[in-house]
Amino acid sequence: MNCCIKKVTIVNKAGNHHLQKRDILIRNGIITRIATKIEADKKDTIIDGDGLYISAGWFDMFASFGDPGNEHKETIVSGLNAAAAGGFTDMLLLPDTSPVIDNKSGIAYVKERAKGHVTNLHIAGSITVDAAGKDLAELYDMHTAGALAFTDGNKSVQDSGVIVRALQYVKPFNGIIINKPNDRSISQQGVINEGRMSAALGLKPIPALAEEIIVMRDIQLAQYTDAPIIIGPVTTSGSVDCIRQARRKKLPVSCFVLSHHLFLNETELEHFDSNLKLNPPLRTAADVKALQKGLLDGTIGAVASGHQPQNEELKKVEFDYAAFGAINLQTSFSITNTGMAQPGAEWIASKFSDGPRALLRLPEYRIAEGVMASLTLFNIDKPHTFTKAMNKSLSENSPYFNRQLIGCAVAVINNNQIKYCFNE
Amino acid sequence: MSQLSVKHLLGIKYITTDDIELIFKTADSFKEVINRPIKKVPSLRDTTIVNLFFENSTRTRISFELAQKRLSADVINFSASASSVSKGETLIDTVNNILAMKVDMVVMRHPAPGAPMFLARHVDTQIINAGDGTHEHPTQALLDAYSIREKTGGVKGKKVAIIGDIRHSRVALSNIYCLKKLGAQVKLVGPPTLMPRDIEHLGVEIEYDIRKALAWCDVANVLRIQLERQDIKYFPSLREYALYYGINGNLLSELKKEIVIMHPGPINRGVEISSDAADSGHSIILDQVENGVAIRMAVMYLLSGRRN
Repeated sequence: MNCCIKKVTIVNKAGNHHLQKRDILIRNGIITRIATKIEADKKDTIIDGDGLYISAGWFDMFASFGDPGNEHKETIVSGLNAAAAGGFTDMLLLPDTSPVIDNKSGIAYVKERAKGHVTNLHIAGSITVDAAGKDLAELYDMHTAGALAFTDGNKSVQDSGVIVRALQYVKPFNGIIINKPNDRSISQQGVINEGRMSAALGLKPIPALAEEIIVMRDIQLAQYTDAPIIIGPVTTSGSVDCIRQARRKKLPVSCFVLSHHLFLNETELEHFDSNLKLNPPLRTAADVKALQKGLLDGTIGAVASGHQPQNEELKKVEFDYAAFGAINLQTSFSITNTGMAQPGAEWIASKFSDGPRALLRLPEYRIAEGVMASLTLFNIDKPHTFTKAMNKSLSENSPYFNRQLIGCAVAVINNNQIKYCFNE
Repeated sequence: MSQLSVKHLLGIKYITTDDIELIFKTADSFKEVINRPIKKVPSLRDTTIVNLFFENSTRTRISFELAQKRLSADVINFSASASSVSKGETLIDTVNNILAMKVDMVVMRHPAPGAPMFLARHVDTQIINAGDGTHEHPTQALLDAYSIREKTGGVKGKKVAIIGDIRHSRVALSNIYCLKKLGAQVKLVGPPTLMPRDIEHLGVEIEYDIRKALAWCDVANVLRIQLERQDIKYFPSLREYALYYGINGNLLSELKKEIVIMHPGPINRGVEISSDAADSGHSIILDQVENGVAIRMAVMYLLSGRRN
């Protein structure tokens, strides 16, 4: 793949061209030149980058597909297409497939399916067998087979002892543990945030406490084992406060949010729209503000999509019976940018590419000559509307269809391929 | 005003104070009708109404059916003890199948909050919510407020205590919306575990002492303990509940004033209310039942005017 991106603003703190307007020449997928002006050859595709930004490829660290087991919701290929259309060159797939990815053959299957795509698929193995929260899965073996991290995905590990043993066990190979905070004895059968809306709509509540009590517990467990833990997604101001304090004490704790929770609050649920039935649920406007503040002051390291495809039959039913989750790979950046009132390209790069890489202990990506291109090209100020026709996912459970959003990914360049995001 | 502002009756939340007044005025005439020797009027002749009950109900279903028959509507009843989902058919399919047989109006009771709103978005018919899970039960709230108005002369400024299982009660929520719209003061009474968090944002106060609540109120609306909705234990025993939150004759005789006792039924005698209280002169429980028919006639009559 040969191309020349003209007059694009580079956003890459790790490199030498941060916030400079440059031409970038890519030959056979490798950045061969970065300069103020490059004369391209006939064989180079010219991309007008004026008014656009380019950063290290974005990384989504919390997304589910349905392959294997629920291929009607999302196959690995359709999911990766959605990821690429959303601007992601890399993503971490949660193990909540059927069967659960809890051994090396599960990892091998997913790896094989993802081969050759513009977007790299990294895989999280489950912490426990069948993500049942009881016995440790073969973490070392999965690590050797290429698992990047371990998590029971959308299931929160309830047993504190299991988390202690997992944190201790992965130390020799620097394994990464991610735990979603949700105490099920408190959240019970809840479907929306506890507060004004649950009181007004008569829907079963999920108290903020259910999240915060596990956040506090996991901070203690990280301190006890002296092992790093990633807690997330977090959604409440109480969670952010706890993690901020823990980080001030230099405890090995980091966290991330889902973009849904930066854009919408619980008042959206007034009409019982099941596409807004999320877990963790949409919280209050004050929580949204606290999350935004946590991102700005560095308490929260990354923004993820929480992409969770569900077929129509699981969503077009009464709210109580509907499955949790929404697709979001294609909208994650736009809703963040809109919800945060356009925080700037530098900020976007820090939370969509540098942040997730740092959390997952991957090397920084430098935009420099001689480096394999892994880049996301995007704008931060153009209004656009996400429609069903643009949707690459096999599922249609998006609450964002036909909403006007600001900013979108324009193209991803990775693995010697270029893919345009919305223009196909 | 002679028309409702809405096409459906999904909840008290979605209607105006004028709508409520219009329903009351219309119910006044229907109440007169049902006390005549010939209790039937032809208002809804050639209108077909289905009563779709996905949850057990005796009095609400009978009350609706009687109201429909008094209005000369054609009535069909559909009861399913389990949810539509567990039967394998979706709610939308069930309703569309019935509508295909040319039905004009759906009265629905359903265990899931928001089910009638969901239905209203996806099918083309008129919907009356006869109770959706722990969300709303608008006709109950209307008949409760109507009964208060009838007994005490008006709702505005009245002090109403709603006592019992607030957390699992659609009656409580609809009553709050209705009473607040009509200018009453509302206190909720019950053990803290049965009180939804942040419910005071709806403009109500919370009280845990039954004596204080009774001394304060003009009207006590006593709710049933909804054991069938309690997936976990919210209080230790029915005995203890009856002791500390139940209404009985002694409590009422301690009061130095007359208060009105209401209950949406069915009563768990000896639990939330003792027999001597339920059957006392304070009680308007059976008036509520009678008014229920008049209110439901008024609602269906008024909504039929908004058809198409």
